[in-house]
Amino acid sequence: MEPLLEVRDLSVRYQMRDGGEVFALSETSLRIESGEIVGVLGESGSGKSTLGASLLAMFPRNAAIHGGAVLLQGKNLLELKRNELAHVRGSRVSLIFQEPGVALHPTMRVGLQIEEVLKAHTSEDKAARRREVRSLLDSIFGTEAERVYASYPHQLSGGQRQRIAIAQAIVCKPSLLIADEPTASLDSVTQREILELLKRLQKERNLAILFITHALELLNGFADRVMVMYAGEIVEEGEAAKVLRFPQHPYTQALLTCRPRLEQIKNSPNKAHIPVIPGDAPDLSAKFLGCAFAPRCPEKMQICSERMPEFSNAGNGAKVRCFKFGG
Amino acid sequence: MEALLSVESLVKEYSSRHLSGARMSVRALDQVSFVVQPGTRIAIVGASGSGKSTLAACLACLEKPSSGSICFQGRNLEFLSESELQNIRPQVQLVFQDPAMAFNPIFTVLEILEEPWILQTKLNSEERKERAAELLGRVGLPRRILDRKSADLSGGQRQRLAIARALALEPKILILDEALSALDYSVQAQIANLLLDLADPSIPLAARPAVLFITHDLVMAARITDEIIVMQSGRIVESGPMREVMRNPAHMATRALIAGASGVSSSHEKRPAV
Repeated sequence: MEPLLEVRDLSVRYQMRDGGEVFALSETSLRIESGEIVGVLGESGSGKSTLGASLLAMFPRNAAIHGGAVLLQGKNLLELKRNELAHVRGSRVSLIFQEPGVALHPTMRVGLQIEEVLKAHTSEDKAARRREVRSLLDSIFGTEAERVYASYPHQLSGGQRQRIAIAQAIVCKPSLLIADEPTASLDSVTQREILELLKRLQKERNLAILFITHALELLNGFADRVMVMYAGEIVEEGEAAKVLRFPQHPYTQALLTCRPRLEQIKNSPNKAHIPVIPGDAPDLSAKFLGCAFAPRCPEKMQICSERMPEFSNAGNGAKVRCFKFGG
Repeated sequence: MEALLSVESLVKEYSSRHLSGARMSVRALDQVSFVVQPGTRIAIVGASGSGKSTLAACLACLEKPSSGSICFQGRNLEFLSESELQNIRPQVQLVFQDPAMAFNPIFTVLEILEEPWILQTKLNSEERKERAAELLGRVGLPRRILDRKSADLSGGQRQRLAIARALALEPKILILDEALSALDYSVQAQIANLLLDLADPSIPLAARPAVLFITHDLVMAARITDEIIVMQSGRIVESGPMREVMRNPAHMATRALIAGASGVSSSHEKRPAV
């Protein structure tokens, strides 16, 4: 069956002012089925935000696409004209960011800002738009909906603003929502509330979600599938429960151990050091000959610095790019 | 033993004018009292808007409390002259979430580190450079970055530099206000280890700053501190030894934070709007 969205061998480079290049994405591929929550886990510079934005063919000016395709139900978004793209964005695929305050107009009531999206994408009249936004806000905010509708962004909390951004993103009933670190500026209690809302939208609307984050604990019990990125490449991909519990790629393993777990802390003295990933974050200004993680990898072999491994099936049912499993 | 810092019934109110012209006041801190002993590591945790950052600003003498007292080594800050406060400020150092904002972008790393010594000591330029290099070593940064500008450093390197600068004057208290929150987990782990080293109980008490770790990240707080203060709506709602509070949280706000950190939903509990 044709997936909802497919990225095939996409490579993106950023041109820097000093004439150099940053290799942001290297031949990255991914598939999202309809109604599926896919978590993209990666650290700064792993290419996760570039990957997310590429699903809307949204690239900064200094980006150069070096091959690849982004197929939304078979249609390549990278070949669409500007006005065709404008139709896709917001109505079939939409995006929310870390800081919703920045995306909202400061002097316009938030309810009207959601109606604007309907105005741009549908031919509904004003009364119909209002009805639709009110019923959407009812389902998201419950008894608070009326007050929220008439509020300005500064009168709302960070969590409420993020819900407004979500309402804006889904009001046209897109089939895919890209959420780029949507909870990073929120406290842990509010984070959970936003995750619950997204999960509910997935179920009620069969909404597919690409959830981009560095906070691995958010994906547990939330994402169906997880992709782990390092230096512009996907290094491990599989069912969320398996990847997060039995990580196979040495990078995924290292990343999971450097985040303390509350259960361990409760039950044992903890004054020893937290495990760290040795070495520095990868330098993306040059193309790697071999595996980008090799310089920091505790299990490095000769072949690792010679060429990049292909995906192999690992013990956890996931696909892993590591010579330990073939390649 | 004399308390390093003792906070008594601290209240901080902010007033603002509504569009209609009506005065509104928000009580950001409400009757906050606690004591910091030398060399201890205390986490101050709470959801957004619970008053954590206001507390940090008051402790670092950046904000004047509306009422209540803050005593540093027995001396009430309220009754000190500006010149006496000048002597205390270096001993209470604050590190923020985004260190990029705290540095002059045209300064080199050396200039950033030596500035407080130029103001507060009589060290000559050779001595300052030597001490700057030593300090970089303490936070795990290489000496060669002394001539670089802060903008050329990565987020993790900048945060180490911020901690190095905070340590430059050998403070008695290091206040970290969400200092790790913006960093990748692998970088957080490195800096958390640095904090564990700084506050290692085997270091003589005189050379070891007390650490106030202000955060909404309960997991990291629990990992690197010994005591916890939980705040909600400007008040302290629970406090005690970290491990005990983690095992038997008494207050709903603490339980909600633990649930949030463990990945359990806690939506049945409504927080008050702030």
